[in-house]
Amino acid sequence: MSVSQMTKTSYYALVLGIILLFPILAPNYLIHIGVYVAINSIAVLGLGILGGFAGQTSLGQAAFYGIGAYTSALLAINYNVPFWIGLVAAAVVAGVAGLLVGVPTLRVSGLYLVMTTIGINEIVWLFMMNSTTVTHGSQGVLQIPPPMLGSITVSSGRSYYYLAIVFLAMFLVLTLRIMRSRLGWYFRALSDSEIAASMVGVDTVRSKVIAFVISAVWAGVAGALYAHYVGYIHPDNFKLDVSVMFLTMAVFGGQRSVAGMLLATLVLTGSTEYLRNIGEYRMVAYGLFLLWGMIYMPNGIGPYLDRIPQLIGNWFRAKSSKGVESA
Amino acid sequence: MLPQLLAQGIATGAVYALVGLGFTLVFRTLNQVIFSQGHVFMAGSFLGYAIVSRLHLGPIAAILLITAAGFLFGVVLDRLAFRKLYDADHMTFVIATIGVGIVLQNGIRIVYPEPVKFPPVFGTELYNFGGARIAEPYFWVVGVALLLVIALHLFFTYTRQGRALRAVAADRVVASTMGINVNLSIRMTFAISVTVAAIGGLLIGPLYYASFDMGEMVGLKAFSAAIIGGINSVPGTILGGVILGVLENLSAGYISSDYKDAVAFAILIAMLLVRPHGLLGRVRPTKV
Repeated sequence: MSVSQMTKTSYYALVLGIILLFPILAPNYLIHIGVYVAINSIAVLGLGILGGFAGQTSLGQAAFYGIGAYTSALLAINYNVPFWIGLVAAAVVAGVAGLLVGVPTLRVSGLYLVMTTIGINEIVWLFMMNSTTVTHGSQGVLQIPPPMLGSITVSSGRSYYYLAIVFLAMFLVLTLRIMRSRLGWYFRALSDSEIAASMVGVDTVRSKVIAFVISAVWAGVAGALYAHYVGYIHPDNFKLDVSVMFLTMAVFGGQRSVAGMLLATLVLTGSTEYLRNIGEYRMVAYGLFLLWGMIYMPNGIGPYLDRIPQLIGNWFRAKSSKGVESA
Repeated sequence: MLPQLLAQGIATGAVYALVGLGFTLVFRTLNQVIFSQGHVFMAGSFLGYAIVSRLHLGPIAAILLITAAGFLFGVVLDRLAFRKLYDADHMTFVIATIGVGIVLQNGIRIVYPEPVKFPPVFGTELYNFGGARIAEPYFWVVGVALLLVIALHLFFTYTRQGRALRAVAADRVVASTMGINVNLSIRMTFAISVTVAAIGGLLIGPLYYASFDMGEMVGLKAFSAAIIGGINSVPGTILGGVILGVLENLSAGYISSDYKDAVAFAILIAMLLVRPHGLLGRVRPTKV
């Protein structure tokens, strides 16, 4: 193993160790935030595939997140469907919704796509709010049962944290696999130049729809995880500002950098949840952060983060070369 | 019922058009969508409230004062926020202006946590028009909107500065070689877009309560109005605003008020999918 590989491995081992040991050492409130971070990360990764790789910016991720949450929650409440089947159903329904949205919105891109997805988010929210017979409207869905693992109920923050982390790991691996597959290269080609991509034989229409469906499925799973964790969902949990939050996390992460997106989700979810009690002031700070962050770091933290293992490696190498010189 | 709904629709539409004009002006100049526009409208409404609740002014003096204050507010916003974003890419601009909106909304929320009631600046009388009872403020809304549009049109067509703004909108580089101060023109564009939104905020104040969370919906509707009419066309935005306002009020009256917002967004999506450049907008060909 070379030095840079070794530092890279130890870097990842350190991060993994912190993630696994965190709930044993941290107080309950922080574990609670950790669950949110893991759930949000799944939705943000989906958005990263769509936005960073396929170049389609969406402000409608909360709609799919909500569709997943409502599907799984309503199945559990009305038909006693267990969590695991509800989760699959949430993924499927969100994916179909993504397909239904993805196909017609192919005609628009860039800012027009942003606007279309905002409209879709608003319509889905209005539906959740007003179709009281299906979604219970502004009452929200109450008493969503926690998942069962065999005969064990996963309801404590600590156990749910591990469940959410397992799902996050699964979707992280899936995301990375997709990115390294042929499809991933199609997506990247699309975001660089749609015209050029179509000239080298990329089926741009199909790739875009697939990216949309993938991002919706990721959001749907995150939504189901959220619903069964908090046990109560309300249409306002899936409003436009949630979409804005997801997009912010993805963009600050650098969209193409998976590690960057995870770190941005950690920082933004962590800080906003932790500072919840000081409401307005927190939001003013958050707004300023968005503004100045975008002005001074338009490409997010991804590019910096990718250089950390390399920087550590360089540091070691500088030391060892110094040793050689002095000897 | 129909004349009543139509009249209200036109007044609502006039406000959408005023706020939407800000979107159109910025889009024409920078090819960007300014997502803080709805919250600027809300902040303008509170600025108007601060003025009319302290000074007892007549309607015309109030409008003139809010025009000056709005322009100043626009210059300040440009200095603090927009100036660094003249060359930003789409996503950066969208998120940064969303950030500006969040700051405005919550900054106002700290000062005015409860909805505030405006003093009746624009009168309270009701007029009868073929079965419709229309309150005096509605006339002010529509009248001022019309005057503003005419004034803007004259400004863009006949004044040197207005023509410079159009030149910058058409091609920034060429405009700068012609001796136009491009940065000053962009600053003017932002200031004007904030001013029209602030005037809209003052006009709507006496009709509804002003509250810190009213900006988001109006901003989205105004943007929809701009898209429906054609986002790079000023008359298109006015037309889009009126169409949206009327359809929204009709659907609230005849279908269901719960879904009146859904109607607006359904029209928006249909328009984006069928004719993304809007009713009166021009198509911009893609350069390869």
